[in-house]
Amino acid sequence: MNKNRLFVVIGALFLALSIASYGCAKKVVKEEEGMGAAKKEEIKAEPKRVEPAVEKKAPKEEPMMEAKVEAKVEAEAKAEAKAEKMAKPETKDELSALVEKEGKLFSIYFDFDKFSIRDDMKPVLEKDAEWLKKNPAVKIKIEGHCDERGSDEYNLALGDRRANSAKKYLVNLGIDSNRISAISYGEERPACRESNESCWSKNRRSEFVVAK
Amino acid sequence: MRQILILTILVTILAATIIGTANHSHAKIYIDINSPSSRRLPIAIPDFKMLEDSEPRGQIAAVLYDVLAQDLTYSGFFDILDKKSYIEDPKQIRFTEREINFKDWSVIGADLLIKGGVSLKENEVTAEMRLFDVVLQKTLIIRRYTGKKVDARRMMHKFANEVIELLTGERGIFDTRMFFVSEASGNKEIYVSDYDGHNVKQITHNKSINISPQWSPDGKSILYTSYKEGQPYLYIFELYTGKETRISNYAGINIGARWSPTGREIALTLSKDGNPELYILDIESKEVKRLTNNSGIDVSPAWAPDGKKIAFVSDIAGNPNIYVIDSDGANLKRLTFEGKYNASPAWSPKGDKISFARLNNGTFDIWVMNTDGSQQTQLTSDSGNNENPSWSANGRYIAFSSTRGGGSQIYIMRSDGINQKKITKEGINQRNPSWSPFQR
Repeated sequence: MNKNRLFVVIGALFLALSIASYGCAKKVVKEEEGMGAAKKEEIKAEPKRVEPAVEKKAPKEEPMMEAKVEAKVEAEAKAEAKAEKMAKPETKDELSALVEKEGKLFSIYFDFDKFSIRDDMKPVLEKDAEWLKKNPAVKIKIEGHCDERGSDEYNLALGDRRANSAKKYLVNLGIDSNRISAISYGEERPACRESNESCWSKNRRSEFVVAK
Repeated sequence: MRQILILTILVTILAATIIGTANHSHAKIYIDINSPSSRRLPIAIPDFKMLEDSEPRGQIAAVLYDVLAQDLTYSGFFDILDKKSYIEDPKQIRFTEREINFKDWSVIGADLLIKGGVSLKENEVTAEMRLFDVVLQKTLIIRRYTGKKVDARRMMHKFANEVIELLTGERGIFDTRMFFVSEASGNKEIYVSDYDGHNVKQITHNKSINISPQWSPDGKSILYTSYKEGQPYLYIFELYTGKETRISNYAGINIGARWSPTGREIALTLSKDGNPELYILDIESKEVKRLTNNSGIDVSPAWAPDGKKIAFVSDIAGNPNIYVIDSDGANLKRLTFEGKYNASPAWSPKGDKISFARLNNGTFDIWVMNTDGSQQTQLTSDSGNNENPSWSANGRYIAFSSTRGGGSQIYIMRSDGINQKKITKEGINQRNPSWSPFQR
């Protein structure tokens, strides 16, 4: 008899919580934290919808926590589409914020001694292009940079290629080439100065500076 | 009978005279500069005497002594004998051939002896220098230098040159100078110093980025790339008149420029036609002639001293390598096939070797090879990144930048890698050395 009552209480609590958590991200965080800090890393800034399917996994006491985790994972998977819809405006804002704060768009990075656009950099260029389309009056200067290794002169030439390679990609995405100028700084303007790969990879870049 | 005797005596005297004259001519070979392992000449250099000193307990004699001793030591031809072994009484003034007891010096093993006397009157320095052949008990060089105190080091450099020229038959480089890029001011500006790093002077003051300084063949002008107008353009600055000319301002990069041996043309890299390629620019007409035409990056031209060929870096093979091309664009030949990255070739003024930087196992080292690419020899190792070699005017030494001490410093070494010596100050990043021609 006791066991059943326990289940009812917990079930009710659970249901109540689920309903309450159907709100915005922050609320979820607070309530989840109240329940158990262990789940902190699972929490994302996305609204969650706990499916009724969860109740199937209810039976034991301790596994209540596990069940919750599983439920969350499922819910997140299903809510992804919705989350992305809500997330998009945030990325755009992020870029506008960057332009306001630092006067430049997202930078892209290159492999050693290469000027070809990496696959993982293409989405970044797409975001930059999108922003440029939404802000048609803006002109940019693309700077090509290199890490400190190798001759200064070769790096000036490589930087020139990196700047132009990024320009070409943006032009192919539909940006008017008259809006874009390119300049190489070779290894002369590093973003960081340490002599290790972590810093070097940060220096092998093209920056997209908003022209004043 | 008597006649024969007289004749014999006469002939003997004549023969003796001829032989005697031969002995007193400069037929004695002191240093065979081309011999692979000449023994170092033992030389004694007692402290210089202060003949007159307006600065009580001044240091000038000791300073000048060090300048000369360092030059001669660095040349690699001398073994300066330890002063502790000298037996001549230092209190006595024995300055001339007649005064000197050469036995005092031959007994300690010296072949040569240098004596110096210094006078300082207000701001004017006079140095009287003599070089003696201890064995022949003869004066070989007498020189007297006068000038301002700031020029005193230069006097010793000039005397060191005289000593080298007499003993080896080759011109000395001790009064030559070095351009380099330094971040001392917080920006990359170009500076000049003596070959040993002293007397540093700032040349550019534009607070922008200034790189790749190069000496003109007459030693009077500097060629460099600067961003002072917002783009990498090429400038010629006349050191003694202060006149500056913007020599190349094409769209894209105008970089890595080197003067031809005649001084009438410049080889450089331009990207104006869509790709970094080599061009030759005529200084007078400003006309530009394209030298390379390929899909790779072509940079860092280095002229052969006869002006007929140009070594450069190209990545047409997929990674940067050293190539040679005739200065009319024909006969392209690849010289390096090893190492991930071969850069910054420098052609020896002697014409026989090309020095360059190679990346191997993650770091750059200075290498040297014959001009046909054979005998590639590594000169630095386990010493950080070593780049941008530049030859001394006599082709005996190489300046380069090295990060072996943390930060980038300028070093000089013999062209076989011996005696690697730092010439710049710690704590500042200094790179891109360019060693001057012989000073007139």
